[in-house]
Amino acid sequence: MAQAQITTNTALPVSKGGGIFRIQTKVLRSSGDPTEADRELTVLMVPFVIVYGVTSKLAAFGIVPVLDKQIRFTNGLARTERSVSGLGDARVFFRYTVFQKDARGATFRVAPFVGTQIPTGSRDASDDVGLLPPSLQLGSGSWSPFVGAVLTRQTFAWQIDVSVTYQRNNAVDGFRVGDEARLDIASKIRLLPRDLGEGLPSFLYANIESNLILREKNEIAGIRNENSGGLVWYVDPGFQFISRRVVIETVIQIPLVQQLNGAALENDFIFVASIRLAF
Amino acid sequence: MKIGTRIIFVFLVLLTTMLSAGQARAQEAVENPDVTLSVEGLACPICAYGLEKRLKKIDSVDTLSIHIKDGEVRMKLKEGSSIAEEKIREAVLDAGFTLTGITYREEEAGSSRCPG
Repeated sequence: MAQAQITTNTALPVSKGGGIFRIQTKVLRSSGDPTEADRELTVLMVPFVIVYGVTSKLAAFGIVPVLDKQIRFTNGLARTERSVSGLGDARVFFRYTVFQKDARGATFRVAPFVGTQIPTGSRDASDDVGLLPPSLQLGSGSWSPFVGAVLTRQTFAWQIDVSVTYQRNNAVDGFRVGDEARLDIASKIRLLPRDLGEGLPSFLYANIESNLILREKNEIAGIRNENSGGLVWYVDPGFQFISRRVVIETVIQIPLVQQLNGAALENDFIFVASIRLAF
Repeated sequence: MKIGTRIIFVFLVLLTTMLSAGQARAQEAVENPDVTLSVEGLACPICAYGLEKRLKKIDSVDTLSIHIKDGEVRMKLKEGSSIAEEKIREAVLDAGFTLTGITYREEEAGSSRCPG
């Protein structure tokens, strides 16, 4: 579509027969536990993203995350730590550009997408203490379809991407993660170069992205878990350096609104650093 | 976080590798082009790479340079070769852009405007 967002992948640009390899490092930290357990969750996530242009309008996406999760909590008088690492749930989806209007130095595109989450992550991981809780498992165990659309308006000076997604999560062995709806808006303005000049200069952008995420409560044996789900709204300042083949980008997702249910942990921040190579 | 350290190390190695790969083949300068294309929708450097790649697959194209500000692609053809307009049109379309004009060097065929 265009240079695309940092926090999501739906607008990544690709031509027919071309591809993009993106690797990201995301660090998520959650704390603020209202219970005496005083849980602190740290997740390091490294999604490997491959995009391939099947045609000029149809793009295929594959995302495989490697996760490292660690939780610390108070158990009696002692501080305890449990952790797990490995492959998370993969995602594949297809995007088709249904509308495109180009002008000199500008484009406007609309593209719906459809895909599924694949249960590649383990959901029965355990440590010395025993089976890890669902929040610490690497995968959901379910094939969960999602649909959405992305709209891109890009000029030399600025760009905006608006992406909406709905994911239906299926139950596995009586446990179902709540469905998720999200609205991701990414905007950027070009800082450098001030004058484009001749040829193909590299661009430096200042970015502001926003992620509104609404999650239903999880269900265990048909009973809703009151300590799960809710609404989170992140605002994400960042930078993007874009050259002819390589993109380097970083953003910090700051939760401005967190209306979480029950004793669900609040997110402190998510730090994202990412590199992309066009091939 | 043992795996965390390893992941960050791999990330840094990949960053270095990808930066090297990205810099390895910079865009060539094209003086006195045989063919100049007017292309709409070009608004960023990495989007232009897909167009460069598609056009370079045409046998008769020797070198090319993209001028993003003007929405132009300047191409030098291989000695004694010509280029079919249909191939240019197909390459630009495959790259996901809109071709609005083809200008040939004066001693060649002149220019043509493409319907938007």
